[in-house]
Amino acid sequence: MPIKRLNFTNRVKLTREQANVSIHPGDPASFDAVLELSHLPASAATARVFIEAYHRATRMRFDYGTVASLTPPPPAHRLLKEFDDWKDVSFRIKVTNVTDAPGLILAWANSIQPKGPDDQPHNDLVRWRDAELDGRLWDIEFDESGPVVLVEKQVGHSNVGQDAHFIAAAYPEILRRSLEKALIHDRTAAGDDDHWFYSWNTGYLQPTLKLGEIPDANDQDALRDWIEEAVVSFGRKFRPADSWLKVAGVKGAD
Amino acid sequence: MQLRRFNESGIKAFANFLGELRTGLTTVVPVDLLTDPSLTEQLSTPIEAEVPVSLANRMAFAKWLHSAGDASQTKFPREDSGFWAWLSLALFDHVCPADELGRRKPGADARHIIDITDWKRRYRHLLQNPYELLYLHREAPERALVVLVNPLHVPGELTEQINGRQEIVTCPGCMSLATFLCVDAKGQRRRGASGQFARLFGKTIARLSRTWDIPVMHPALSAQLLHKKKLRKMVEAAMGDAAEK
Repeated sequence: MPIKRLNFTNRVKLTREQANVSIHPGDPASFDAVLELSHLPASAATARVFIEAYHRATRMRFDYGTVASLTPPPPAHRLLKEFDDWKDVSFRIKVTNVTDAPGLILAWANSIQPKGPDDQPHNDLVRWRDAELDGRLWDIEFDESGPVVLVEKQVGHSNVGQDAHFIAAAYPEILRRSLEKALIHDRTAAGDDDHWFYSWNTGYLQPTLKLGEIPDANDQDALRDWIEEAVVSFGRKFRPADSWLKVAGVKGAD
Repeated sequence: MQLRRFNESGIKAFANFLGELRTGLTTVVPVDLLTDPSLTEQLSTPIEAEVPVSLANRMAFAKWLHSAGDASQTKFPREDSGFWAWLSLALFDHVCPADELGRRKPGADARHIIDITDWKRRYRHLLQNPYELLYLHREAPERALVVLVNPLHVPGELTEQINGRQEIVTCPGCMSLATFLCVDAKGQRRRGASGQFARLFGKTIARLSRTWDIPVMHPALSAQLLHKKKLRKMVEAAMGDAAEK
């Protein structure tokens, strides 16, 4: 399996048990961080801990003190006031050397989807959003956390995405465009766990569709074949045309 | 002048004007649209602002607009395409100045009317973008000078390339570094600060950000991490300027 990025820096990847974020909805929402950094080496004691909240062109950064002395900002300073909707916000946590190699990241956790008030992680494969699409029913865009399917807001709330007609007509194309974005455009590799495709692949595509090994990022033709195979497998497994027939109740060819 | 916003019909009328201007059907800027009650609406919070006769660059415009908002104790609607289209027409001599023969080249509609269907390209708007950039870096606006130093009607490819990379444009340290490298001691874009430079810079920063926490680093320190030959020229020029200071 091709590995595009190698970690030569001894940077430690923090697990969700070691670094996680919970949201408290409100206007604005606020957050709490769970940090368990005792496994880091003693040399990291003076390293500073930063939490970054981000979505599109908005980013907020919070200083949590040092590894040896974590000091979260007071609640009034942990407000996500720059963001319109807390559900859009992702987090990353960095442990940064500020002494002998200032700026060197010693440990981090990236693309953290915060836990909501019901303790439910927001881990849907795609997210949905109402949009003005000037006559089109749907479109798709991507951010750091993966695909966002846009649905024309005049049609109804974005829960149109749960409609069986829509599922039948759009889901295979959503899958195709998401895979093209990750593998062709972003040129991410299967082992790149900083990219949203990693959780798609390990949490969904491989367990559910049992696809073959992802071709090398330089072999565009093979990648496109692999993507088409994924879409075909999706169709065989979930039978979107059958879903359509079930709600439409007629066979067009008859 | 009381600032207003276009309604849907107003945006269409403005778009029609841009189309006619492009094809040479008109050369007259339809300023009457700005107050036409059938095409415009008041802002939810009234804002009065006198447009300066000259706006030296994108930074001057952004500071002027932020000041107008502060004076009215309100923020401008960052996502309101009707407002930004109206303001583009109100400042048309700044965003689309006439040449010596009176001709104007408006460019793509997206420079004047935000394309609300494509948020990734909203940065193409000639007014919303500098306002947004100053808002993002309002704690230290000078660090965003690299994308605010040009005239309003010529943002330049470097600005476009940096704007297109959110991991850079939202990162205080990355913007400080870009300004350190691309803006000289006189506050002018340095020679070589091109779109090509920005593409290489963007790729390099994306790679370095996995190892280095750029926001905590002084630009003169993070600049030392740039080893590619095409970047080194800019680093050396910037370090030379810093040494002279």
